[in-house]
Amino acid sequence: MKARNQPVLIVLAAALLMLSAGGLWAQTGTAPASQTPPAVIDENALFGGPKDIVTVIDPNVAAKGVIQLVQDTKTYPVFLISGTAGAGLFGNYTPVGAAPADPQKLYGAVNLSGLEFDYLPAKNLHFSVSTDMLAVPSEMLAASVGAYADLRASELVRLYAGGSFDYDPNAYLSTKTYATPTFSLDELFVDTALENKVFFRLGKQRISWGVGYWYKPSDVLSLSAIDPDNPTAAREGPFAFKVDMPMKLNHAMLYVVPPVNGDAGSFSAAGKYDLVVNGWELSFAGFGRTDMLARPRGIFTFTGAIGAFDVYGENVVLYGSDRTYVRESSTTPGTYETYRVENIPFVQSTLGIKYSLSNTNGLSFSAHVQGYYNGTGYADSSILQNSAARTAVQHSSTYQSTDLTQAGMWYLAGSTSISGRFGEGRNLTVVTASGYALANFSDKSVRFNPQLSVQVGDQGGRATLTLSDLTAIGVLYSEYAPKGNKTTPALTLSLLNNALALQASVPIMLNSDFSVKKVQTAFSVFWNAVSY
Amino acid sequence: MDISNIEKRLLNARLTSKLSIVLFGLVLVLGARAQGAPSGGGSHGGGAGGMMGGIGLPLNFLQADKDYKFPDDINKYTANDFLMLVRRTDIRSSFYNSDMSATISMVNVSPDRGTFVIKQQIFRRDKDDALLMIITEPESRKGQGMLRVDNNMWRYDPTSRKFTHTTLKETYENSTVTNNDFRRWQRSIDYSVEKISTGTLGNYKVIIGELKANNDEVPFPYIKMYIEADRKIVLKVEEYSLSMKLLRTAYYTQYVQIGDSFVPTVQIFQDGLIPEKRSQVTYTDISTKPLPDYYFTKEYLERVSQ
Repeated sequence: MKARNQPVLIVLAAALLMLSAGGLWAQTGTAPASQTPPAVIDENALFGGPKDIVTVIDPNVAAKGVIQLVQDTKTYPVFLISGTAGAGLFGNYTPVGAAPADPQKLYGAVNLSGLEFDYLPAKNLHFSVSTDMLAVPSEMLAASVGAYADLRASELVRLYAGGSFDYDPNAYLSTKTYATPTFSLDELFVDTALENKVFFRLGKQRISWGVGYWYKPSDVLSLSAIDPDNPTAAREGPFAFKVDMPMKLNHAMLYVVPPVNGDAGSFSAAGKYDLVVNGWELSFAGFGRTDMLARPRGIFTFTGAIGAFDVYGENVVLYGSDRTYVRESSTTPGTYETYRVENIPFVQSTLGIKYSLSNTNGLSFSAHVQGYYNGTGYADSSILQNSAARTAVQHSSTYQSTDLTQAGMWYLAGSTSISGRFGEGRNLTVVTASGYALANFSDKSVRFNPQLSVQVGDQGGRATLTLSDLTAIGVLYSEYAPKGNKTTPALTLSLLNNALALQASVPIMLNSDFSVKKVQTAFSVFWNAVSY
Repeated sequence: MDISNIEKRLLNARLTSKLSIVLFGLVLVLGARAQGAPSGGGSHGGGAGGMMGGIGLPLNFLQADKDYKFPDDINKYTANDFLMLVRRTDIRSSFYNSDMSATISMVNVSPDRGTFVIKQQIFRRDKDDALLMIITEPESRKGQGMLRVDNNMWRYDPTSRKFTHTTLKETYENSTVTNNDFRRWQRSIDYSVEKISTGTLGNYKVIIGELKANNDEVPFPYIKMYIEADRKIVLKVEEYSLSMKLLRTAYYTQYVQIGDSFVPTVQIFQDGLIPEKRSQVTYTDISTKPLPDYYFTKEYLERVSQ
């Protein structure tokens, strides 16, 4: 993307220019000596000084204002940089089933990882740019840039704007692919409040309804689907007016989504009430849209604990389905027709259970499982594996991107982890075996990723070795194996607090009988020489 | 979609609506007992001897302490005397008659990962067992925070705009500090005394107690406490694993006294397994000014985040 590099380079150049205008430092490693723990613990020095260790403060003075105990005043403007930058080798090789378009190269490459620039001209103003990038001398292979401005007029009144740029056709930076450079306005809203009792957020904003992890049927306002390999990733939200009213721990909120398609009569509204009862949080919600493209629904969610188990659930009752369905034409076999079902009720329900156990001898275990019944899905969603059927849906006048996601009726997902700690000192070693799996029983596709990690030193600071194998099994265009059967064994090794990082992965495409169709490799070795 | 499928959906919907009515009734019943959030301004606190049962403290927890007579000679302390001494330090770590807010710096030093600084603001309303923590530095994490009120605890991630539950046992920011270190102490409830002795720490005579946890909610099953006898303040705590391996040592090297309360304003934590790994928590400012009620709500946590 040689010609497309310009926006990113402009952003980077601007950031560097901004930084060069004043002092610049990495914030993570600076602290006054009086606030830094001693290099050697000497109990006689800690408790044997001439000064009493207790300082008495007049309660009346403390009740009227802030008592400064240590001189620690921050001055503005502030410029900060954090993250790492490194250089090394990056390459691709396709030993089996190579096509002319497959790269067979070895590059000298530059890698930026979590490089973030923050500029605070005053206490209530904050501009930030962060980037991950993989570039070779002749082109940029992948880039992900995020930026935001947080401009506060007061503690609870502000303008916030956030946007991002992504280009990653081969999913080098994450599991998500961006075939073309993609700019997006992630959030643009204003916050304000009435007498600190009623709070407003007005504008484009991320909204996270629901308590589920892999499946959230109650998250009716989010515009993008949950990434099965990264369920906690931020998701696009709508332009909405949000009104919040906390009532002690309980909480009422109302969202109004104005027209998005130019139709002045097309409004959505959603209300929710959170009730905290004896350690449980219960939420009751309702949603409606005037044009009925998304159907009215009632929602009940809960989260809490039963004994040693954390439990959560979401239940949704809709009058009609939002989905545009497809079926083979009865009059013209081989062709497909779409239809909607709007006059019967549907149910969506999910239940999740989490359990964790750890002891002070270093053994820890956790497990998490979530099941999902999607009443609006197809009992057999394999029809969507047919290209003609998918095309018919996409060409429907009522098409929404969610028509082709989570189209099954029965789902199950889970994760587990067990780890043990061995040794002491800088040889302290933590070995962790973990994994997650997702299954769509309606199209018989599954996805799982077992992982083994060995960390040596404090939090793996000396060395971390990770082996994983993300595997998808299913027919082409199935939900969890959209590219058919595929397995990707991978190894990552980082040494000396990630100063040296090695990665290798071998994506293997498999035929339906699991014979090998194509084998690719991608590998990199980077010396992250600059760390802020 | 055939007729049988439609009938199944209708049946599902009927069952769900009945279930919803049952659940709604249940909620109404439970709602009558609903736990309220912190109420009332800081200056109108529950007060010593008030109803503490609602915030996890046994009834008479404070009153029994008031009337307790400690031995004059530290060599005459019994196990019960020491437990009451621990209770006194628990009570003195709290502000039952006012709110408390502070700015805290936490410097973590790791032999492998270098030095890392986190600054945060904390807001406490101990009479309701309420705590709000908000990170102010590093700037990249400004606004991330945690709200705990009694047994309800939420963490907020500004990136995904999502609240999640967490537990007090969790290690805070992968350091030697745990979430529990920011809470009012309640060691006299969680532990029983196994053995006592006396000793010296620098200039101070101390009573040393070896305690064993009486529940599995605490992060360390065994602890050894060093308490200065005269002012009854904790100077040092060693924390052990089930197999009695030393996991962490905490030193409380500076205190401020505000009324009857003592706040350890300099706390040094040394990792037991990696001795070069240490953290220091320093209170850079402190106040007992009453806090607005809305501080202890999820909404406030969301609003002050990025």
